[in-house]
Amino acid sequence: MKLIYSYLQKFLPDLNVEPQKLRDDLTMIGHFTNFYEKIDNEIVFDLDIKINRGDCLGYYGLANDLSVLYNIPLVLPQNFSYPASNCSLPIQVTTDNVTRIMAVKIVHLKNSTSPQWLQTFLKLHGVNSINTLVDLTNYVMFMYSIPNHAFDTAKSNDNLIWEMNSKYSEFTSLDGTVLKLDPSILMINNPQRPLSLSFWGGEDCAIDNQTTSTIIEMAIYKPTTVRQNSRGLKSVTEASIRLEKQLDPDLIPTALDHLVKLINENCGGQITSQVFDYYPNPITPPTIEFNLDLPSIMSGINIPQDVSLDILKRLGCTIRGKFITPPSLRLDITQEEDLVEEVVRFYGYNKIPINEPLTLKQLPDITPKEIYQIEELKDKLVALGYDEILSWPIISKPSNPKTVVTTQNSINSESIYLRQSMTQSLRGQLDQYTRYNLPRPQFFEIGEVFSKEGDKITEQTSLALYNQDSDQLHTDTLRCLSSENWLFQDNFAEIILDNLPKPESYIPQTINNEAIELTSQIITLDANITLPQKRDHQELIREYRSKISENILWSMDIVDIFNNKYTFRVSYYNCTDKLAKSTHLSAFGLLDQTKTTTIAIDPNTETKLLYYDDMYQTTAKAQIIDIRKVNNQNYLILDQTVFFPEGGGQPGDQGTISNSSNNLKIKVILYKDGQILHATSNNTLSIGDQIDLKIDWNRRYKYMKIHSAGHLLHEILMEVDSTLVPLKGYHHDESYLIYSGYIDPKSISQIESKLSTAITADLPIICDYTDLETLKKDARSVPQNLPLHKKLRRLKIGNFPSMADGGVQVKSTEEIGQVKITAIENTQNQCKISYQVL
Amino acid sequence: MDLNTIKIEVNDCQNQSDLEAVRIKYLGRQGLINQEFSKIKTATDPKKFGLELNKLKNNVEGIIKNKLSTIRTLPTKYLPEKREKNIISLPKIGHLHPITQTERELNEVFRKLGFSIYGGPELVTDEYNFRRLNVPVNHPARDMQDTIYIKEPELLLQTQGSAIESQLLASHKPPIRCAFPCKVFRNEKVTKSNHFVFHHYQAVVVDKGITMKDLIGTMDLMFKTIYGPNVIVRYRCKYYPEIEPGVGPDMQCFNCKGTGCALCKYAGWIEMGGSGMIHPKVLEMAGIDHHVYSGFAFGMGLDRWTMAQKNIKDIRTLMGGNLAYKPN
Repeated sequence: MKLIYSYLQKFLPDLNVEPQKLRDDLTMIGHFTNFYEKIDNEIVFDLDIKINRGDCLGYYGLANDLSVLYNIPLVLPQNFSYPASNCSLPIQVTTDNVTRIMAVKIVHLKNSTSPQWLQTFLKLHGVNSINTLVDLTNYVMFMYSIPNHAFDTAKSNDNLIWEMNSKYSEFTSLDGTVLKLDPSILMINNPQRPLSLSFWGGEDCAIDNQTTSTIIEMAIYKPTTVRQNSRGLKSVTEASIRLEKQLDPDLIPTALDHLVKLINENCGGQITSQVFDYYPNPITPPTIEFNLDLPSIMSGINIPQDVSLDILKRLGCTIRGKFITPPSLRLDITQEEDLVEEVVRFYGYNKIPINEPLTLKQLPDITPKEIYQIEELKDKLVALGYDEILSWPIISKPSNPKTVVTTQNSINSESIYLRQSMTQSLRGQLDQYTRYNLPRPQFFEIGEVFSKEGDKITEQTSLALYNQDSDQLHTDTLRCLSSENWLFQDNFAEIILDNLPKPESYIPQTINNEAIELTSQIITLDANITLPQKRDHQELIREYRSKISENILWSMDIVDIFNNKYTFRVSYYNCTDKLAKSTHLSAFGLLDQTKTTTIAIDPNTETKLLYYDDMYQTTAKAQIIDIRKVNNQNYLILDQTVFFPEGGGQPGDQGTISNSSNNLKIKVILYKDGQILHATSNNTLSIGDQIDLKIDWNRRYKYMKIHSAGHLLHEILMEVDSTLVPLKGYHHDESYLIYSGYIDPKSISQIESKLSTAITADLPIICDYTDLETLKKDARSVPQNLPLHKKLRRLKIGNFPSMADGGVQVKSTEEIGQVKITAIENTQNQCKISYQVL
Repeated sequence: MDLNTIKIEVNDCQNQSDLEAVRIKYLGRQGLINQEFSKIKTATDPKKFGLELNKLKNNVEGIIKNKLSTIRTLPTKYLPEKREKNIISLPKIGHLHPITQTERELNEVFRKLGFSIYGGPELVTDEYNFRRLNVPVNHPARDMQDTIYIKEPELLLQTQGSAIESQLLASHKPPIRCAFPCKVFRNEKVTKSNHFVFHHYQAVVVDKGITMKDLIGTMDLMFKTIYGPNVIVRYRCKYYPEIEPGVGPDMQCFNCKGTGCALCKYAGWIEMGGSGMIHPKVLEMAGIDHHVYSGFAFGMGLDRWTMAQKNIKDIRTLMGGNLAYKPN
């Protein structure tokens, strides 16, 4: 439900609290308010209204609560005075599903497009504007939570009949939907045609700009009838949402007055009928005998009797001694406990202390023994090396169709059976582990299995486990449960626990666990190494494990030993094939035996990277130390350079290299094995030449700002949602970040404002050399594909954590200037956030 | 078949699986002793034949049991060299499912307060899942939970932990202190963030003089135990049909610290579940006099918290498939 602050003030002119406070107060009294936002110059709140409070699906009900909370008056519009008329409307009611109907006829009205305020109001409530008359009926529904309807009497005539459907098989609603009807449907018809459902108007007598005469009706029905009709026809409307809840029939006169007044003001017209009022059984709210000490007794804190009385009075209750009659608006209040809740919520839930819990009380232990049995078995299986899994209890293929229990309405058309054995479920898990290449899985599950014999449905608790070593499986089953009831099938074992002996008591051992969500295949590689002498096996495993990051190491075993030759089998996860291979080769010292792209950097020919010493340096002198020619392109290698090569999502520099006889444009700059390659087509330069370097500073500075902005944006996003996983950053003219996760597109303004705060704060941006250990200590995360053949560099903005970065950056955030988020696009698992430095 | 031969066979067993093979050979359903029993009808003195065979059977059971106890006293600690002769690993310990771990942490909190841990079946009747919780047929509260029904009248997969509460109240007299984890089911499409099976935790107390202060204090103790002493939880009015007054615990969003983010849908708070004083009608239907006793109940979901703790991004991971554990 949307709530516009300024419209709430129409009922509460004295309301003057900060939106933030209003949001929190509404929540505390039971109307959870997610957030508020400013749209079209209005402050709009987003609330969840609970089903017991149909009145609060309108401004009036919420205003009523707030007038009690803030002790401010609730103001209603002035009564409308209807002109005298002799004409009574020929309306008939032939069903007892109607609680109350009021109706009035207006003629000679002028309908047209709605005024702007009304269009905006409806837009903010997610409703399309149709025309003034229709929009006003919707406006009044939102204000009072009482649905109503206008019939064009030129099409419907005045002979409206409220009846249960007896003759029509079809009905076309306002939006053209054709619904199949049955006799359970409550309808408004004329003697010739169906006109409307209780919760949805019909196309045939819809109001349009040509409408000049109308019957306005406002009605409340038996909530269950509307609910069944709406569910049966699979049609939910703003009206059905309200009518299926308890609404106050005594509020209809006020709401109708307001609607007629608004029609009169906006469409003119003349009232030509008496006000029709059908209300055969006026409601009488219950009178409740109330112990005024009960709020204190139930809440556990002292709430003085006069405070309780005052709250109930403000709520509109009639109080006669200890007898309380709630107002008709609050038909949800039927008993003492309901009155207690009213008192406590307005007195303040936050006045109840949070630090006085129950204390220990020894009662007889009624824990069912099967719970002890399950806890004990879980501990035993974990000690034997089995992992616990949970699987779907609903399956698609029964193992025995004769005894399977079938669902009536399952989550999809295939998975409709309750599982008959746990092994069925475990097979699915094994398939999945096989898909991920998980080495040597062994796992178990304890859960419910179901079967049917005749009419009798049996639910039993079953344990099943899997081990690819069947000998071991047999031994382990006996170790955890010695019984001849074990059933073995392939490498699965299963047993029904219900009829087995159970322990009298059992205290579970707490085990800390680390679960991993697999997202990519596990990569298993072998390594053969020869050692100078034989070593203790476990010590060896520990030694080699320490050489591989825990972030990617899954498991390490020794699978073969011959004298002092060992074969290790190592599984890697959460990384690419390439990274697994390079890590593997380096951990086992096998690098030099393979063709690898990594070349050791020669300090004698390494280019000195001046741009890392001073990112603002634009010129330098350098000497050519090598020229390499590849496909008509010459690559100059210099002793030092200010040219930044492309990398890390940042474009490379452009600029000129010159000496007395040359002035060459450099456009492509690459980094390779410690050297910077400056591409040029000129071939008159020679090794040993002295040259002058000059970068295109405007271009460089632009990308420095874009790159720094990208990093700052990343830090802000991580603050907003630390669960995002960075996947890619691109800092060219089109600039964006890609994450695994979800970023709410509504959060643009929030992110922009945080960015702007950080930029204004002029945070320092520090870039320097570092090592992996230091980086690991301060960074949120370290990318697994960090180049191993370069010296590591890090970036640190203000007090945000460090991160690995080899780019060139501005020296503080203010230099970035203004940043705009241009788009947030969420796809299946990824989110792309695009930004622009203005 | 004589006892001495069997004794030798049993004594030769080196491990449990050897012993099990001997046991199955003699005592299994198709075992030699059972085969002998089938000859009883044709025996010259069936009574004597039966008695002797029974004696033999008891003796065999006895010696196997004795042998088993000696095998069991051998170190049962897992020795990797013995597991797979060719593979040498570090000792392997299994893992509990993260949900089980969370459940155990909660059970521990409540055991210390004298609670029993309770449980019940997953298939329940409409009566216990709805009607006894003050949700009659056609009550709009049924829309809060899309139920999966079974093709048998009245049976459904429980949609809430309160289904166990109504069974508990019907079968035990106050004072009652029980807490219980359970699986609950809703007819929802399975996606990255929604599942049809999830895990509830519920605590129920019925005694004389139980108040909202007891409820809020106990819930806060629980939240502080499992989420840490700095967790901020507010307690506010909230509606559920089976309680009155209702109390909704909201935890300040651990991601944005209350300023609003995508995780908490910009509310700054995360709804942690529902609770309240047990509705007098619920007590009445269980035959408990609500003028004498009062009680509280609260329930919360475990899945989202467990996911946040273990950095699991996809709720489907919890119920099979992608969940795995690194061997130690």
